[in-house]
Amino acid sequence: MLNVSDLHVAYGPVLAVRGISLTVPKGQIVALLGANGAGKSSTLRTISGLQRPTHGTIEFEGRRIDNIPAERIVQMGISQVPEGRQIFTDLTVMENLRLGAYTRRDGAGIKRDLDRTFTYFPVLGERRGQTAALLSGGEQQMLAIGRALMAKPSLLLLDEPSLGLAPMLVREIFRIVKAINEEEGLTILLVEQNANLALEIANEAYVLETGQVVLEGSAEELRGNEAVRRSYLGY
Amino acid sequence: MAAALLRPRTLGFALLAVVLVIFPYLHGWPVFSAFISEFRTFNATMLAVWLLVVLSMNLLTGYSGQISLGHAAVVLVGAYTAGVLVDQLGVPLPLAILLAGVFTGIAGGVIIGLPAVRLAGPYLAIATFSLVITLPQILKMGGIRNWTNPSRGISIDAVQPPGLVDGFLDERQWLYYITMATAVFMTILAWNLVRSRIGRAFVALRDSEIAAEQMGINVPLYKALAFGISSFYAGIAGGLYFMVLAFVHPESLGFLDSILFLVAIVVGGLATILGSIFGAFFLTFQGELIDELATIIPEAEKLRGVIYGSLLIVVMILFPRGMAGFVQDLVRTLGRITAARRHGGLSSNPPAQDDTNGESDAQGR
Amino acid sequence: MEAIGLAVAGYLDVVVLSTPPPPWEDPSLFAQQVLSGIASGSLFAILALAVVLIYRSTDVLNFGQGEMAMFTTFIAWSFMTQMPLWPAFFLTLLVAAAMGAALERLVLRPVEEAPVLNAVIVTLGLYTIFTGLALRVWGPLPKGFGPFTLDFLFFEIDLAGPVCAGEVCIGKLSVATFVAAVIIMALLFVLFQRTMLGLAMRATAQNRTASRLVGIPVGRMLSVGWGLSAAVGAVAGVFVAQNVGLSTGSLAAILIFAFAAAVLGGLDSPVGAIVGGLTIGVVRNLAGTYVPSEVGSVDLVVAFLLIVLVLMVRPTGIFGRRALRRV
Repeated sequence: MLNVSDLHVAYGPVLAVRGISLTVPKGQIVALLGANGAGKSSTLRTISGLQRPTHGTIEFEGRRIDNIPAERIVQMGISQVPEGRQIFTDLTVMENLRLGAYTRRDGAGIKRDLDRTFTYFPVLGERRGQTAALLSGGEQQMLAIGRALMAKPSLLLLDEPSLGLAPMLVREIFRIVKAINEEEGLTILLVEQNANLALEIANEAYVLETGQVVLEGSAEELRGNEAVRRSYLGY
Repeated sequence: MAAALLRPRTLGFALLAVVLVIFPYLHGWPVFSAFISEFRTFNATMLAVWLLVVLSMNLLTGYSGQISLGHAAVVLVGAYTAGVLVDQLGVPLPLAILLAGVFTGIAGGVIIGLPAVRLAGPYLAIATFSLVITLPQILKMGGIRNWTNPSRGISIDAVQPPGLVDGFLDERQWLYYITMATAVFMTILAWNLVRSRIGRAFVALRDSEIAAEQMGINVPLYKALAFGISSFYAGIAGGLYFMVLAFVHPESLGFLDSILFLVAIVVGGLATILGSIFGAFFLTFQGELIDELATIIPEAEKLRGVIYGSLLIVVMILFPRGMAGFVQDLVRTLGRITAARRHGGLSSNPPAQDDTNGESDAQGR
Repeated sequence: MEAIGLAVAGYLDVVVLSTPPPPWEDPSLFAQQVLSGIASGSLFAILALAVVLIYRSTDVLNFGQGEMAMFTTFIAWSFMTQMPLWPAFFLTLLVAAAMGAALERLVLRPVEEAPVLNAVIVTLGLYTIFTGLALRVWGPLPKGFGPFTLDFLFFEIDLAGPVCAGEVCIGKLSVATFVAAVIIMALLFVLFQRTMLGLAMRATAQNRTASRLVGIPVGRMLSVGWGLSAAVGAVAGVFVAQNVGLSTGSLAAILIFAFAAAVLGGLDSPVGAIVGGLTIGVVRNLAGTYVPSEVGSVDLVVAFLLIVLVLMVRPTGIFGRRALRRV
């Protein structure tokens, strides 16, 4: 579904990504693991069009998308849950979700997806009229995911959904993400520092270090890998 | 040791010191007299005053992120405090200036800083703007008008050089030296301040109040402190302003000046000492610059506003970090070229950087 | 930039000579002062709406707003020498909207990534440019501009002259200004609260990265915000100029109070702009009439003290509810 090959990304003179290649097959969850600064978020930002690559190609369902601006990439079916959630804090939960469907014009479909979002995240339904700033961290993360789902994506990019959340909440969110993947067949590219959790729900994973892929394989393989265990899983 | 003395930076500062010391005499020297008039000594004196004003503004807005449209009022408080102390109470001028700084600093920290703690952005700007509107009226009010003399203002005799140096220096040169010395001293002080724990707390506050709080910074305290320190600088600047012009009036500094101070820190370069120096040059010479342009370009006199505005916009677009940013980029580029030449090629790949870089607008605006 | 100083100074020179009787002894004087306050407050309010619009859609305070409005009103004046009132008015709105959108694209887009102060300085540049251009094109002499007679097909309204109830009068023009302000407010309310465009504009002002990620064309939203704001400014200019005359600087003085009004009401609230404008107008007038002072501009002191007091209690204005972020 998504093919990234030899991707380079630079901010001014600083190279954040140098030659990453990866593949996300349809219906799977693929995890990008690695420490802070490994180039994970930059890769996601480049796929979603927020950042232009300096070199390399990105193909989505057979089409080159590496030179298409972010607002059009959403229309093509890629939706990103950005790092730090980036919800519209001054708007209500409902307004946030309506904005998620900004590119769509199918009223009935939007209504259906709204109900679906509320099924996955009942708390959002309860608080639909509330200003998003008043939500807890976990609820804000759910809102960010819900907002991304409202665009009816075929590929969801999830950037550090566990950031700053209590472990219990993180489990809950990961459970829902997995459920969405299984029930809807939604393809997910997940960036996570918490490798343990990510490998639990992912089918495949890539480990990044200083902007390059140092390891790749199925989730089980990586869980069994000595180096990964020592560096990222902590046992 | 000798090598350290020869470093370009050290040499630069030494050269700057020499220029500052000999400047009031340059207009009398053969070559220089062609393009430096005696009046430039007065320009340079005002430049020192404006430097303190711009530093004051930069400490508050550039470093701490508190936008003030009322800074002219704060400087005016300093000038008036010095004026009243000298005129009414017979306090010696240097002491009066110091007291003006202290008084303005405390007043700024308490009267503006504490209430301003809850305000931000345009709300703070308009609240401080209220100061500029109301202060002249307050100075004219019943209780204090006997001190402030709003109809004619307060004037003093021009400062005379003390007996010791009399004969070597005329009044203009004497004013220049004491004003410039104060400005240089306080610039060095500011340079140290912004690199201290307090300065770093200011910057943290500016970048994100929430993050600053999480880092254990007492946000209200440091906000008030930013106003206090900034007002101290403004108060000293006001005192010097009074000394240099030997005059102060409720309308001496107003709304227009407040706006110009804001323009000066942005055009000079936010949150840098170098930028403050450029800002001071801007304040001193902006009027003259436009006058000069008007004599070169035909019809320009009628298009003054258009030229001025266009220049502002062009500078903002071409040099988003002000003149200081431009100079820093220039130095860096030159450095890279020399380094490349020395190593016989471009430097190798820089290291990968933190993921979050480049997310300049991540927080919205 | 001297013009703005002069304009403000001009406002400062309202000298009240004698102390009037207290309100309970002369209620009609009181009522008259309140009405006059509403009249001047309507001017602040209508321009404050343009301030709110641009702040809510782009997160910038536009210091050039007053002079842009002045400039477009001069354009309206020129059109009116060529054609009837209504076509000239609507053509002016179109020109203003195009001008606003073009300015956003040309001079504000390039500083979008820089600190917000850079954008503020750019708007100050716009201020001096429009003052200078207007001087060059239309000259320094004030132009006669209204009050007009509005032709509504079936009936006509002459904006000249007052309407009175007993001894208390208000200019018809002031009533019209107030009505226009309320209509614009209602339109803005509908735009922001009831349309997808308005919602997208608010989102853009808040968080550009997130806006792009949900597919909002951020650049276009900013242009639309500036365009609409310039059009509202043009309406404000047309009304203000009928009240205070059409010359360079005439709107800059009003803009100061429009900023104050918008801040008092809450910068993101169209209702707040009207309430703030009227409050400042009335408070100024009453203070000028009833607070004894030998210096005359006590009205300003009281008005701005009120703003400071209100902000102490509500840091984002009376109706503002927005959590403040960077700058």
